[in-house]
Amino acid sequence: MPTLPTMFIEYYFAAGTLRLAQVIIYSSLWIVIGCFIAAIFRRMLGEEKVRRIFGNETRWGLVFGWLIGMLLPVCSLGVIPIVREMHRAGVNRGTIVAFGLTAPLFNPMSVLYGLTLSDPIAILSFSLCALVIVSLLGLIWDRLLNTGNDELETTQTPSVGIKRSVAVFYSACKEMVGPSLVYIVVGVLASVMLAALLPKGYLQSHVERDNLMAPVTVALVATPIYSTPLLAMSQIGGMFQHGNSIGAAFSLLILGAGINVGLLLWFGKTYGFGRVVVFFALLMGTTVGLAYVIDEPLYPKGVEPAGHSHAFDVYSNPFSPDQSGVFLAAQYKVTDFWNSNELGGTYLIGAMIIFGLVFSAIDRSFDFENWFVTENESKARLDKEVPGWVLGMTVVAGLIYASVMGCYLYYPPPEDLLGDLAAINTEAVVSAKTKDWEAAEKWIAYSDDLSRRLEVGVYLREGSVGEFQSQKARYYREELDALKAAVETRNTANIQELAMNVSKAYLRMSSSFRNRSGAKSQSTDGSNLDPEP
Amino acid sequence: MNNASIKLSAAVSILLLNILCGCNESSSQQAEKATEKPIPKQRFHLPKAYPKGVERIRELFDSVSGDGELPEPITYQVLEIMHGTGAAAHSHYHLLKGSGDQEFEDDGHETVGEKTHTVVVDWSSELTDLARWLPKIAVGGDMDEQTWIKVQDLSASLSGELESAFKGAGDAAAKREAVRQRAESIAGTIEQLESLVPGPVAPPTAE
Repeated sequence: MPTLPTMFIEYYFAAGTLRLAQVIIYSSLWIVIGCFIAAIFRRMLGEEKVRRIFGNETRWGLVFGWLIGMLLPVCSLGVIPIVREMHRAGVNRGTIVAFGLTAPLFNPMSVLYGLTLSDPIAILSFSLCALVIVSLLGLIWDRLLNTGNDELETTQTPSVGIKRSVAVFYSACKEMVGPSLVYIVVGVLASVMLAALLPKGYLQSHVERDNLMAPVTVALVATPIYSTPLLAMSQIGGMFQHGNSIGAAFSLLILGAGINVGLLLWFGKTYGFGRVVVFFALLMGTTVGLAYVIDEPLYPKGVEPAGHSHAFDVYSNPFSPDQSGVFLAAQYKVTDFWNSNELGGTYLIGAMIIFGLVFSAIDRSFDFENWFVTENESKARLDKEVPGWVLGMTVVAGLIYASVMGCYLYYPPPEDLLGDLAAINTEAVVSAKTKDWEAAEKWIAYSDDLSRRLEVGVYLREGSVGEFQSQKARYYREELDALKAAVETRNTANIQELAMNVSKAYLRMSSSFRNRSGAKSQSTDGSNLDPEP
Repeated sequence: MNNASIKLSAAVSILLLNILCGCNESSSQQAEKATEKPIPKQRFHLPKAYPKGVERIRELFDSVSGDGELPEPITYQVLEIMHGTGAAAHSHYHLLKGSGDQEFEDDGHETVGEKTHTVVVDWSSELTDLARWLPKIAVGGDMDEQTWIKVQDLSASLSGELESAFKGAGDAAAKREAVRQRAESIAGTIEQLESLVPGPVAPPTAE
């Protein structure tokens, strides 16, 4: 029997370990992308082109900042290497602020997801308000806080050929083990500490519509949490559906997904902590101010407040202090999380860290920088010289294109997705019926996620989702929620009935999507049959 | 970093710590505070199927528009189980069904208190709720898309009618009078809703 202090240590440590794993799995791919974008800026575009892309000599710097930020797929940790490179290249500070805050807030995938979760006008208003904040802060920074003179470093862009590609890889790997890593680790640790300290069920009933302090409360705790744009958007959608405070949802988006402690630390270290305190106070002030402005007008019509929210569940301790076996539970959750969310990012980040360390070791005896800029003496006849900035722009455009294409992959055609969902739903129902609780929890969550992606997939391809299909999907998720509640409490009383309800709701939803106008294929899972026995 | 910045950082940190750790309220204080708050709207009077919902609307309307007694309010007991303290405080609500031997599993959180609430739903609230909930109820059945869209439109129309009827009507008698004034229009909408009840459970046509 573990003693009380041991249980407390386990309680904090297990939650911290779980959150650490979650943040690494969530962020690794975005950090890798961030390091490569920074390397492309440095080695292919060069300082002058980077300044030009971000409109340094024009009045449109802020607009370019948030426009490029919206299109590049990074999170608030992945943006750190990029803003460091922008600073090194001499981009205006206000533009860096605008970019640094916008990139983690939105990407095409998250905006699409958000559009289906609540009234499109609400998400568009959120986006607009976010841009107001970003532009305002960028302007203030440029006009009032931009008093220092940055000393510009210049790096000669590598000579054409394979060296240029090696240089990009070298810079990305070195960035991964360089100062960026310190800021990223600080950001991750802040989220880990918060998850260990916040008790289970934190803020569940404190973000209700009638709680006047909800936007402020969320604003005060949101900065260290770390959230990806997609996760934040899904939580905001959940808050809309539960009838929670819309102002609190806005605070969560701007201060939870938009910024983290690591990014703030970089701002402070680079521009001075005094300025960053002012900047952060302004960010908090404008966010909370706008949160109160939109709180009432954007409140969804016809929604009855659920009296609770699950928005903070993932950021707080998932265990109770008196719970035993938390390490085993945490281990299970990590494995589960890995299986459903790992997209190869952790392998890439691991490999880049190893390469970064190897490059650092070789640097002592070999001058890479000099080798990169040494001209090749012989050139093949067909080896045409393509300017670095053309390559760089192509790669950045390619990333944006990949980000848009990623939406189509992440939200597959409804007919394809329904095939997967049929199998996942069966797993959820069968595991609940056979009381395989852990499996049921996993498959229910997966089914819920796929049903949302189903809607987004239709929206993406057809421009809208029918109200009927949308309501069928919502009803299916409500049945999943009821089953989930029974599974979580290990309540066997009516588990068979609840599982059957999920099964029926799935068939009805599936049928409605397959039979919608514009659907291409016929049912392969029997969903066009009458679900009633 | 100057003094002002340090002071501002310290103030923010203290505020943050206070939020993180809750307000040091005891469990009983927390429970007491939770009970003062009105409970969220309960949906235990939500019918399970569309025909039942329409049938109940008809029943309520006939009683209200007729000369007999007004329908009795629905009364049910809800058990609130309060969990956690400070910012982690939250409640779960369960319907109590007559016999007192019901057991409710907790969700792994510390239980700090329980309270039984009596929820009273009078006829006007029930009628408004049912009118508004009809599309949600219908979507759980086998209704086809076109029929469901009609239900949605009729539900919006009936809800709007009831809302304007009850607006400014103070007591039950005034609400009854308001419904009577709109009886023809409301009855027409209910008839249309009844005509959309699927197959064998469809009500007989009006005499």
